Amino acid sequence: MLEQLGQAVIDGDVSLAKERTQAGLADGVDPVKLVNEALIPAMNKVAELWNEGEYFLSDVILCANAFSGSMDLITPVLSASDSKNNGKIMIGVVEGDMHDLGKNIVVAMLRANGFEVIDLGVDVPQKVFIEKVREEKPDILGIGAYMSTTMVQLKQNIDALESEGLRDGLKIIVGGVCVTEKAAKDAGADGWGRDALYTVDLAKKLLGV
Amino acid sequence: MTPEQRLQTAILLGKPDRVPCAPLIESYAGRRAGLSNYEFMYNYEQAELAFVQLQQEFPWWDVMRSVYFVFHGPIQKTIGFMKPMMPGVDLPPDSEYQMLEYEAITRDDYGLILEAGFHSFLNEFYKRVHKVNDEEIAKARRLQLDILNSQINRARQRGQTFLYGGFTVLAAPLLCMMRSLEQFIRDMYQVPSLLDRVLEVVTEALIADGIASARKTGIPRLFIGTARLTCQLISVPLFERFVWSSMKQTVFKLLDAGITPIFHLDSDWTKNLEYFREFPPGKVVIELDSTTDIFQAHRILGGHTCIIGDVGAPLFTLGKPEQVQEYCRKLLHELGKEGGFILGSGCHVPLEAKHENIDAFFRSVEEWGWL
Repeated sequence: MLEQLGQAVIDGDVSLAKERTQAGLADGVDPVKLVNEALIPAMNKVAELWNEGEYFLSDVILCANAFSGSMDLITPVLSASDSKNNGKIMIGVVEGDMHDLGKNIVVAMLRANGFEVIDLGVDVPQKVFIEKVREEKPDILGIGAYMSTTMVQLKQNIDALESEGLRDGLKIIVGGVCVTEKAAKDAGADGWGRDALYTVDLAKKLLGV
Repeated sequence: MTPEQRLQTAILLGKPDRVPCAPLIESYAGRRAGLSNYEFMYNYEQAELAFVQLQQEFPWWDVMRSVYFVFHGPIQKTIGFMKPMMPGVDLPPDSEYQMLEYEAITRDDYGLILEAGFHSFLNEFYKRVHKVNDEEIAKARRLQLDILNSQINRARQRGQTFLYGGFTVLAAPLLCMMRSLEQFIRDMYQVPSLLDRVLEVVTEALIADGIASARKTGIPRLFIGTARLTCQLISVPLFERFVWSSMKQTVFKLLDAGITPIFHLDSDWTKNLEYFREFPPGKVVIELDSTTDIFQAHRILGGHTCIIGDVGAPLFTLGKPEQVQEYCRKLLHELGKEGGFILGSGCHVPLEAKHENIDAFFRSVEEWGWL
């Protein structure tokens, strides 16, 4: 059963993944087992297929959807202590930038890999980044900018967090279609989110998980 | 050579006297002329003055490559294929316009396209997304044609030639924009046969529109938008089934009508470049946006397909003038010297481009563009 659920996720079959999750829960399968022995290994397999060039972004999006569909059913029956938590990540797109596609894929992949993700959405003003970091104390802050005109805000946001005394202990990853490794470094980030799956590996590396 | 002769020579893969210069400059021209982007996008007359000013400053700019007639504020807000966020209306007056991606049409709308036809559906789409009525749609269509004709005439008056005789988008990327990427991907996997039928109907309609537009303006060249659906994102079988088949159909029908397709290839097409060799040589143009490896494109398509490109937005905004000049020099030497090349920006020159980088771009044409 666990294998079949995992396969539904690997196939990116949202309906089948939900159906098998429901069946598992109805049969009394431990929800933790569904997550740890079916869903997470399935997403790891998806990542492997992506890295091998077998899967394309379109496949990954479907698989992430299937994973999220299953998790929506499992989460209400998981107790807080049951949930695997690799760390808390806050993510948002800079002010004046409405692009959410890349950010949404990153969010889905991080969640699929056991991170708690706080999604601030798009068009996030600097003061909101500051307030939310102060309030939520994430382990990692991910900042996205998808236009050459909004890219300059990466550094401005990072500098503002520094000025507010919020930079110590906070890892920052930046990404977006125009953002290069050099631009990430120039902005003062701890890492460059080249793509969604690379960002997951980077987050794990930064947090030592 | 006149600018038009130079352009035609390059398209036919010949060596003109100088590499034609065709940056896709829109809002930046307004910024340089001291306009806010709201003023530029909403006031066509002021936009034209900005183009005049820029061309007077840089007379080597000989090919007017503009889609202002599509993205002019009142037009986008009425008959745009996506819901726009415009400067001065939805965004601060001096920001770039952006598109909102959401599921503007559902899978049920495919049924409407099949039953009522694409044009009838498109009217419903405009009403739904832009909250406009039939009269406003008709007015925006007239305005679009008026602006295009005016852009062509004014470019000619100042000694330039105009690249596009019309504008269209390939069927699959168009539906993808309307459905949202995520939903369209689901459709490709979950309802492929339905999608095949819908794409066939939409492709036929878009080809007819494109031919009509190019005939009205008298310029036998058509801009074709092709964003998103490359092998950077989707597998080869998906690309061949949902993109390449309609791309081929579009090209051969346009060629039969005497129209040159100019594919605006946003994103990374490196893995798809070989496909263009299936078209007859010297009949198709591709525009690269600096994401595709243009030097690899030249290795694959040199002597077969004219390439326009590809100084990218990051180089214009973050680079130094000497870096811009060095990149242009490399393009002009490695691609330009053999002919079949047009120097351009990769997609739009960004609003935030550094003025000195624009100067460097144009200077490079004068310095290294002569053949």
